[in-house]
Amino acid sequence: MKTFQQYLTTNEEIGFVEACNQSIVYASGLPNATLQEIVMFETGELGTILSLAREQVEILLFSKYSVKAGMKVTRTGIKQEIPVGFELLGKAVNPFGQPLSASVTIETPKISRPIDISPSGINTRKRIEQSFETGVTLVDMLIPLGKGQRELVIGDRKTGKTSFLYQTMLKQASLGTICIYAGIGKKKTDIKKIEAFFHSAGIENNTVIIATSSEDPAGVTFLTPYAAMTLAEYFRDEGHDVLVVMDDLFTHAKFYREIMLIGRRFPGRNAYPADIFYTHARLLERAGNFVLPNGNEHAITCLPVVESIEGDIAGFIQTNLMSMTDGHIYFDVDMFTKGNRPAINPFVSVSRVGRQTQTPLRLTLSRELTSFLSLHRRLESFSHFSAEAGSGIKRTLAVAERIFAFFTQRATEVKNLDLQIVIFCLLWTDYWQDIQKMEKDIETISQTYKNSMEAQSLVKSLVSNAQSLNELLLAVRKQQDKILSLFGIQVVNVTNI
Amino acid sequence: MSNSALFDQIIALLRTTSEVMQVLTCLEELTETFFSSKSAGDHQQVFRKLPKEISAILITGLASEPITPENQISIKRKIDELTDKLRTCKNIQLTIAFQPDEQTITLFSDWIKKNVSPELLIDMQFDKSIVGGAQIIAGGVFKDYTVRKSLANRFRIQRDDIMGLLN
Repeated sequence: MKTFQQYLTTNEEIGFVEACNQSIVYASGLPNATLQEIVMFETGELGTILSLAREQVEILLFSKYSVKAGMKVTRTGIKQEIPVGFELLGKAVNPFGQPLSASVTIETPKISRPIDISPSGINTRKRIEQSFETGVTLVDMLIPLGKGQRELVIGDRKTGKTSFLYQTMLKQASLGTICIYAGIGKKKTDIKKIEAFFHSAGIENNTVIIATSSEDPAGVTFLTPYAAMTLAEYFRDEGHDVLVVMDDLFTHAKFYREIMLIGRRFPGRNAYPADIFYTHARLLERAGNFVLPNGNEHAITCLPVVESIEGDIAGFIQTNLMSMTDGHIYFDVDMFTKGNRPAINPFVSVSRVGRQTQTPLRLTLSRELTSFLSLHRRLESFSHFSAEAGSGIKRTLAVAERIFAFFTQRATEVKNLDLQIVIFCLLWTDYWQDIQKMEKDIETISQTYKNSMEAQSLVKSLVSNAQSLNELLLAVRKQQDKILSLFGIQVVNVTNI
Repeated sequence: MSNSALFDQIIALLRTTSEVMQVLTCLEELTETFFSSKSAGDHQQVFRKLPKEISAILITGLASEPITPENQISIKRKIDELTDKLRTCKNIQLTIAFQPDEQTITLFSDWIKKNVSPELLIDMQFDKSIVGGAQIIAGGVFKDYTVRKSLANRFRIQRDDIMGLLN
């Protein structure tokens, strides 16, 4: 950027700070200032024009340090922009593309894009048809997602939301998707942890962190998700599928509320400004499945996160976001305390467009599983009368227990969906009666699968050749001994099929 | 005397923003005397700090008669209107390279009042680093007609030649 004097000489417009209230500054002058234009104070601090009045302009300050009344301010003639480019891959930057750590140097990309733009129109969009794998079995089987979907991740704090996001980014980065993590007002230690995770998982070349810490000015924090989306749009236009994680929009809403209340906007419900819905909707509307001018199809999948308070998902911001996304994954605190990992409640979670991307096999499997778990939920109350319960009920309860054990996954572990489908078929055909043995066998199968090309091709052929769950079950049953011996599992006699 | 006539007479005599501030302070002090028993009957004293001509106009317009509870409200209204008008007066900020004396200020002020607007005030600033010429700020527009800028431009264009001469 140029200096204050250079901008002043070029634009020949000056303003004087009349009043300052935390991050909001009122200045006289600047007759031709435009909305969202960046302005510079004589001390070098930056701000953006938030609103215009006849005699004054309202400026949102991007600095930790306040400005004083009487200070000079000038226009820069540029809008809020972020430098975009492949140079940012593997880096942690703020919404202006500057490195978070002073010790890190980044080659600044030559291209810049405006941070806040209108979402693309309907003519550039296409129906979501490709499946989006998260690497989390429960989600991939029960709440399937599609590329370009906006899926809200909702739950109380410390219920495993971040772990799920880690797993999803790990899986997607390994598939070649560019993952952008937007940390909104996060603790610096949390940002460091994410950086360390990307580094340890070896996916840093496919990831970008755009983050603001809780110490940053509210104005900069507010821009974080918009900057992340701008970067995502750049990678999409360059021919990549992109995943954007926004952690979290509840904090974003709170920062926006702070700015607007200081700016003397009329408070609405829960003191949020009247345009809070618009603020989030115009952000999330920038995600989707797009057709580029060259005819190629690329998607920006968005996983906004929102925190619920004491399991209440009916809050103002939470319900707003639910209504503008294509579904939500709910992390249940009760399931978390019961030991379920991930603590996703499949009965409360919704995926509105994911099912349309599924193969007939996955669709039937998902339906069968959902129907079975619903049945189990109804029969669960009978578990208290185990002695009196019939054999059918007992079997349902036992299978459900094994299914929940099958869904259990470590925090940083990602699973191959095809393999999980085959394992599920073994489970569904009652191959395992003992949960501990099942868990041990699944571990062995997963390890063997990673190292054996033969096992991988067998699993692939089994899944790709089956058109429905019944077909796959038959195939697995027929080749059960072969499958198990290939995975190094000692074959036991199955009594109840 | 009507309020607009009073304003016209005063603004014709006021040259700079600092003089306006002085008048505003005096008007504030006059308002305060309404609520003070000590200064009762001595309202004209508050205008002593101002130049004689301005003081005379204000005394004639606001405090020619003793202020009593009966005329207090109408005088207060007059003061408020005058204060509002003076506060909203536009000004031109002039930065020059020398410390201006009274004669210079009058010269600038008279020219501006005659050629631009009789209600326009000047805000004189002194900055010797501009070498000569002036910087003008009016209505948020900044114009730099300084020698410093001309020299900087010349240096930018003829940098190599100048450096060659120096070496």
